[in-house]
Amino acid sequence: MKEEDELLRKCGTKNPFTVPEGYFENFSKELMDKLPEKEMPLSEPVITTWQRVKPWIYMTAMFCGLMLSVRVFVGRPKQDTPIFTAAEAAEFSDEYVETIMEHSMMDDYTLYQYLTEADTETYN
Amino acid sequence: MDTYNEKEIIALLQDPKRQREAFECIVKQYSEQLYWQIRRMVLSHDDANDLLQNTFIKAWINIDYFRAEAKMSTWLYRIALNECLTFLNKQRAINQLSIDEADAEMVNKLEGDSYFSGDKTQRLFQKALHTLPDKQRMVFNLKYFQEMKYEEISEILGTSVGALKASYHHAVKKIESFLKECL
Repeated sequence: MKEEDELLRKCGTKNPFTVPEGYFENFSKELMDKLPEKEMPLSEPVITTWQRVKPWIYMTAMFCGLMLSVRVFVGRPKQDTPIFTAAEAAEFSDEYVETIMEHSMMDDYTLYQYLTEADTETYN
Repeated sequence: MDTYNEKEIIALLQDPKRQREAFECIVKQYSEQLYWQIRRMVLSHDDANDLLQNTFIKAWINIDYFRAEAKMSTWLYRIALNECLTFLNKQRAINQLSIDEADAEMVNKLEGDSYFSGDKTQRLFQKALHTLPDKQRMVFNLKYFQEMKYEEISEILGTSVGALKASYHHAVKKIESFLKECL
Protein backbone atom coordinates (compact mmCIF):
# COMPACT_ATOMS: atom_id res chain seq x y z
CA MET A 1 0.00 0.00 0.00
CA LYS A 2 1.48 3.32 -1.08
CA GLU A 3 0.35 5.33 1.98
CA GLU A 4 1.64 2.69 4.33
CA ASP A 5 5.06 2.69 2.64
CA GLU A 6 5.18 6.46 3.06
CA LEU A 7 4.25 6.17 6.72
CA LEU A 8 6.82 3.45 7.30
CA ARG A 9 9.42 5.66 5.70
CA LYS A 10 8.57 8.69 7.84
CA CYS A 11 7.83 7.08 11.19
CA GLY A 12 8.95 3.48 11.03
CA THR A 13 7.89 0.91 13.62
CA LYS A 14 10.46 1.79 16.25
CA ASN A 15 9.05 1.66 19.77
CA PRO A 16 9.37 5.07 21.45
CA PHE A 17 8.10 3.75 24.78
CA THR A 18 10.32 2.36 27.54
CA VAL A 19 9.72 0.49 30.80
CA PRO A 20 11.42 0.52 34.21
CA GLU A 21 14.43 -1.76 34.47
CA GLY A 22 13.57 -5.39 35.13
CA TYR A 23 9.87 -4.75 34.66
CA PHE A 24 9.07 -7.79 32.54
CA GLU A 25 11.39 -10.07 34.51
CA ASN A 26 9.60 -9.27 37.75
CA PHE A 27 6.09 -8.94 36.37
CA SER A 28 5.03 -12.60 36.43
CA LYS A 29 6.19 -13.13 40.02
CA GLU A 30 4.44 -9.97 41.26
CA LEU A 31 1.27 -10.91 39.43
CA MET A 32 1.21 -14.52 40.69
CA ASP A 33 1.51 -13.22 44.26
CA LYS A 34 -1.58 -11.10 43.69
CA LEU A 35 -3.71 -13.85 42.16
CA PRO A 36 -6.53 -14.98 44.45
CA GLU A 37 -6.45 -18.58 45.63
CA LYS A 38 -8.89 -20.87 43.91
CA GLU A 39 -10.94 -23.27 46.03
CA MET A 40 -9.98 -26.87 45.38
CA PRO A 41 -13.06 -28.77 44.23
CA LEU A 42 -14.39 -31.26 46.80
CA SER A 43 -14.26 -34.91 45.90
CA GLU A 44 -17.35 -36.08 44.07
CA PRO A 45 -20.18 -36.80 46.52
CA VAL A 46 -21.19 -40.46 46.81
CA ILE A 47 -24.89 -40.98 46.21
CA THR A 48 -26.17 -43.83 48.41
CA THR A 49 -28.94 -46.24 47.44
CA TRP A 50 -31.19 -44.65 50.08
CA GLN A 51 -30.72 -41.23 48.47
CA ARG A 52 -31.67 -42.67 45.09
CA VAL A 53 -34.75 -44.49 46.43
CA LYS A 54 -35.87 -41.75 48.86
CA PRO A 55 -37.84 -39.61 46.38
CA TRP A 56 -39.82 -42.63 45.13
CA ILE A 57 -40.64 -43.75 48.68
CA TYR A 58 -41.77 -40.25 49.59
CA MET A 59 -43.98 -40.15 46.49
CA THR A 60 -45.51 -43.54 47.27
CA ALA A 61 -46.19 -42.53 50.88
CA MET A 62 -47.79 -39.32 49.70
CA PHE A 63 -50.00 -41.19 47.25
CA CYS A 64 -51.08 -43.68 49.92
CA GLY A 65 -51.87 -40.87 52.31
CA LEU A 66 -53.92 -39.14 49.65
CA MET A 67 -55.90 -42.30 48.88
CA LEU A 68 -56.53 -42.89 52.57
CA SER A 69 -57.78 -39.34 52.99
CA VAL A 70 -60.14 -39.72 50.07
CA ARG A 71 -61.52 -42.96 51.57
CA VAL A 72 -61.99 -41.42 55.01
CA PHE A 73 -63.65 -38.23 53.83
CA VAL A 74 -65.59 -39.46 50.83
CA GLY A 75 -66.53 -42.88 52.36
CA ARG A 76 -67.07 -46.37 50.91
CA PRO A 77 -70.28 -47.31 49.23
CA LYS A 78 -72.25 -49.87 51.37
CA GLN A 79 -71.84 -53.29 49.72
CA ASP A 80 -74.91 -54.81 51.39
CA THR A 81 -77.28 -52.06 50.37
CA PRO A 82 -80.05 -53.72 48.43
CA ILE A 83 -80.95 -52.42 45.04
CA PHE A 84 -84.44 -51.63 46.37
CA THR A 85 -86.16 -51.88 49.76
CA ALA A 86 -88.97 -54.22 50.74
CA ALA A 87 -91.42 -51.32 50.59
CA GLU A 88 -90.37 -50.58 47.05
CA ALA A 89 -90.57 -54.30 46.17
CA ALA A 90 -94.17 -54.46 47.42
CA GLU A 91 -95.17 -51.82 44.88
CA PHE A 92 -94.29 -54.10 41.95
CA SER A 93 -97.30 -55.77 40.36
CA ASP A 94 -97.50 -59.56 40.05
CA GLU A 95 -97.49 -59.33 36.26
CA TYR A 96 -94.28 -57.32 36.38
CA VAL A 97 -92.63 -59.88 38.63
CA GLU A 98 -93.77 -62.75 36.40
CA THR A 99 -92.31 -61.00 33.34
CA ILE A 100 -88.99 -60.53 35.10
CA MET A 101 -88.97 -64.19 36.17
CA GLU A 102 -89.60 -65.36 32.62
CA HIS A 103 -86.76 -63.20 31.33
CA SER A 104 -84.37 -64.35 34.04
CA MET A 105 -85.34 -67.99 33.27
CA MET A 106 -85.71 -68.60 36.95
CA ASP A 107 -87.96 -71.51 38.04
CA ASP A 108 -89.96 -71.58 41.28
CA TYR A 109 -87.42 -73.67 43.12
CA THR A 110 -84.54 -71.33 42.20
CA LEU A 111 -86.63 -68.36 43.24
CA TYR A 112 -87.45 -70.03 46.60
CA GLN A 113 -83.77 -70.66 47.16
CA TYR A 114 -82.92 -67.08 46.32
CA LEU A 115 -85.55 -65.70 48.65
CA THR A 116 -84.51 -67.86 51.62
CA GLU A 117 -80.84 -66.83 51.18
CA ALA A 118 -81.67 -63.16 50.99
CA ASP A 119 -81.12 -60.97 53.96
CA THR A 120 -84.25 -60.97 56.10
CA GLU A 121 -83.68 -57.28 56.70
CA THR A 122 -84.83 -56.62 53.17
CA TYR A 123 -88.30 -57.98 54.05
CA ASN A 124 -88.66 -56.16 57.35
CA MET B 1 8.35 -25.94 31.75
CA ASP B 2 10.84 -24.12 29.48
CA THR B 3 9.21 -24.14 26.05
CA TYR B 4 5.61 -23.03 25.70
CA ASN B 5 3.30 -25.68 24.33
CA GLU B 6 -0.29 -24.47 24.25
CA LYS B 7 -1.84 -27.96 24.15
CA GLU B 8 0.15 -29.03 27.18
CA ILE B 9 -0.68 -25.83 29.04
CA ILE B 10 -4.40 -26.19 28.36
CA ALA B 11 -4.27 -29.79 29.58
CA LEU B 12 -2.51 -28.68 32.78
CA LEU B 13 -5.13 -25.99 33.34
CA GLN B 14 -7.71 -28.76 33.80
CA ASP B 15 -5.73 -30.15 36.76
CA PRO B 16 -6.55 -28.02 39.83
CA LYS B 17 -3.20 -28.93 41.40
CA ARG B 18 -1.19 -27.65 38.43
CA GLN B 19 -3.46 -24.88 37.25
CA ARG B 20 -1.40 -22.13 38.87
CA GLU B 21 1.83 -23.42 37.41
CA ALA B 22 0.22 -23.54 33.94
CA PHE B 23 -1.14 -20.03 34.33
CA GLU B 24 2.28 -18.70 35.26
CA CYS B 25 3.60 -20.06 31.94
CA ILE B 26 0.82 -18.19 30.15
CA VAL B 27 1.72 -14.97 31.96
CA LYS B 28 5.40 -15.32 31.04
CA GLN B 29 4.51 -16.09 27.44
CA TYR B 30 2.07 -13.26 26.77
CA SER B 31 2.76 -10.47 29.27
CA GLU B 32 5.21 -8.51 27.10
CA GLN B 33 3.22 -8.53 23.87
CA LEU B 34 0.01 -7.67 25.72
CA TYR B 35 1.78 -4.90 27.60
CA TRP B 36 2.91 -3.13 24.42
CA GLN B 37 -0.54 -3.39 22.90
CA ILE B 38 -2.03 -1.82 26.01
CA ARG B 39 0.73 0.78 26.28
CA ARG B 40 0.18 1.99 22.74
CA MET B 41 -3.46 2.57 23.62
CA VAL B 42 -3.07 4.31 26.98
CA LEU B 43 0.48 5.76 26.59
CA SER B 44 1.28 5.85 30.34
CA HIS B 45 3.41 3.02 31.82
CA ASP B 46 1.56 3.10 35.16
CA ASP B 47 -1.83 2.80 33.47
CA ALA B 48 -0.57 0.08 31.15
CA ASN B 49 0.83 -1.86 34.12
CA ASP B 50 -2.49 -1.66 35.97
CA LEU B 51 -4.45 -2.75 32.93
CA LEU B 52 -2.07 -5.62 32.21
CA GLN B 53 -2.49 -6.90 35.77
CA ASN B 54 -6.28 -6.54 35.53
CA THR B 55 -6.20 -8.50 32.27
CA PHE B 56 -4.42 -11.45 33.82
CA ILE B 57 -6.45 -11.37 37.03
CA LYS B 58 -9.66 -11.47 34.98
CA ALA B 59 -8.21 -14.29 32.89
CA TRP B 60 -7.31 -16.24 36.06
CA ILE B 61 -10.77 -15.79 37.57
CA ASN B 62 -12.40 -17.00 34.35
CA ILE B 63 -9.83 -19.60 33.34
CA ASP B 64 -12.29 -22.44 33.99
CA TYR B 65 -14.54 -20.97 31.29
CA PHE B 66 -11.80 -20.80 28.68
CA ARG B 67 -12.83 -22.95 25.73
CA ALA B 68 -9.92 -24.26 23.71
CA GLU B 69 -11.94 -23.47 20.57
CA ALA B 70 -10.13 -20.11 20.46
CA LYS B 71 -6.40 -19.65 20.90
CA MET B 72 -5.18 -18.53 24.30
CA SER B 73 -3.63 -15.42 22.70
CA THR B 74 -6.95 -14.46 21.06
CA TRP B 75 -8.76 -14.79 24.38
CA LEU B 76 -6.16 -12.75 26.27
CA TYR B 77 -6.05 -10.02 23.63
CA ARG B 78 -9.82 -9.74 23.78
CA ILE B 79 -9.72 -9.22 27.56
CA ALA B 80 -6.81 -6.77 27.32
CA LEU B 81 -8.40 -4.62 24.59
CA ASN B 82 -11.74 -4.54 26.40
CA GLU B 83 -9.91 -3.37 29.52
CA CYS B 84 -8.32 -0.59 27.43
CA LEU B 85 -11.65 0.56 26.00
CA THR B 86 -13.28 0.58 29.42
CA PHE B 87 -10.36 2.50 30.88
CA LEU B 88 -10.32 5.13 28.13
CA ASN B 89 -14.07 5.71 28.39
CA LYS B 90 -13.82 6.00 32.15
CA GLN B 91 -10.97 8.53 31.90
CA ARG B 92 -13.02 10.72 29.59
CA ALA B 93 -16.06 10.49 31.86
CA ILE B 94 -14.06 11.28 35.03
CA ASN B 95 -12.33 14.25 33.47
CA GLN B 96 -15.52 15.29 31.66
CA LEU B 97 -13.58 15.79 28.48
CA SER B 98 -14.64 15.24 24.92
CA ILE B 99 -12.92 12.43 23.04
CA ASP B 100 -10.65 14.91 21.22
CA GLU B 101 -9.76 16.83 24.38
CA ALA B 102 -9.00 13.64 26.30
CA ASP B 103 -6.77 12.25 23.58
CA ALA B 104 -4.93 15.57 23.17
CA GLU B 105 -4.31 15.66 26.91
CA MET B 106 -2.92 12.12 26.90
CA VAL B 107 -0.49 12.92 24.10
CA ASN B 108 0.59 16.19 25.73
CA LYS B 109 1.56 14.22 28.83
CA LEU B 110 4.17 12.41 26.73
CA GLU B 111 6.25 15.58 26.81
CA GLY B 112 7.21 15.07 30.44
CA ASP B 113 7.02 11.29 30.47
CA SER B 114 10.31 9.68 31.47
CA TYR B 115 9.27 6.43 29.84
CA PHE B 116 8.90 8.02 26.40
CA SER B 117 12.08 8.34 24.36
CA GLY B 118 10.63 9.38 21.00
CA ASP B 119 11.60 12.50 19.05
CA LYS B 120 9.35 15.22 17.64
CA THR B 121 8.27 13.02 14.73
CA GLN B 122 7.31 10.22 17.09
CA ARG B 123 5.32 12.63 19.25
CA LEU B 124 3.49 13.86 16.17
CA PHE B 125 2.92 10.28 15.10
CA GLN B 126 1.35 9.53 18.50
CA LYS B 127 -0.76 12.68 18.18
CA ALA B 128 -1.92 11.51 14.75
CA LEU B 129 -2.74 8.06 16.12
CA HIS B 130 -4.83 9.58 18.86
CA THR B 131 -7.03 11.36 16.36
CA LEU B 132 -8.34 7.91 15.40
CA PRO B 133 -11.35 6.37 17.22
CA ASP B 134 -10.27 3.81 19.81
CA LYS B 135 -11.22 0.70 17.83
CA GLN B 136 -9.66 2.00 14.64
CA ARG B 137 -6.48 2.77 16.58
CA MET B 138 -6.49 -0.80 17.92
CA VAL B 139 -6.71 -2.20 14.40
CA PHE B 140 -3.92 0.09 13.24
CA ASN B 141 -1.64 -0.84 16.16
CA LEU B 142 -2.20 -4.57 15.70
CA LYS B 143 -1.54 -4.41 11.96
CA TYR B 144 1.19 -1.75 11.71
CA PHE B 145 3.30 -2.43 14.81
CA GLN B 146 2.57 -6.09 15.49
CA GLU B 147 2.08 -7.15 11.84
CA MET B 148 -0.83 -9.29 12.92
CA LYS B 149 -2.82 -10.97 10.13
CA TYR B 150 -6.31 -9.66 9.43
CA GLU B 151 -7.81 -13.08 10.18
CA GLU B 152 -6.34 -13.02 13.68
CA ILE B 153 -7.46 -9.43 14.29
CA SER B 154 -10.90 -10.48 13.10
CA GLU B 155 -11.04 -13.23 15.75
CA ILE B 156 -9.95 -10.83 18.49
CA LEU B 157 -12.25 -7.94 17.64
CA GLY B 158 -15.14 -9.87 16.12
CA THR B 159 -15.05 -7.71 13.00
CA SER B 160 -14.99 -9.02 9.44
CA VAL B 161 -11.73 -9.07 7.51
CA GLY B 162 -13.19 -6.75 4.88
CA ALA B 163 -14.18 -4.17 7.49
CA LEU B 164 -10.74 -4.39 9.09
CA LYS B 165 -8.98 -3.82 5.78
CA ALA B 166 -11.16 -0.77 5.13
CA SER B 167 -10.57 0.52 8.64
CA TYR B 168 -6.80 0.14 8.35
CA HIS B 169 -6.72 1.77 4.94
CA HIS B 170 -8.65 4.80 6.24
CA ALA B 171 -6.49 4.99 9.35
CA VAL B 172 -3.32 5.15 7.29
CA LYS B 173 -4.80 7.89 5.08
CA LYS B 174 -5.89 9.95 8.11
CA ILE B 175 -2.49 9.69 9.76
CA GLU B 176 -0.70 10.51 6.55
CA SER B 177 -2.78 13.66 5.93
CA PHE B 178 -2.37 14.73 9.61
CA LEU B 179 1.41 14.41 9.35
CA LYS B 180 1.46 16.28 6.04
CA GLU B 181 -0.27 19.25 7.68
CA CYS B 182 2.05 19.27 10.69
CA LEU B 183 5.44 18.46 9.18
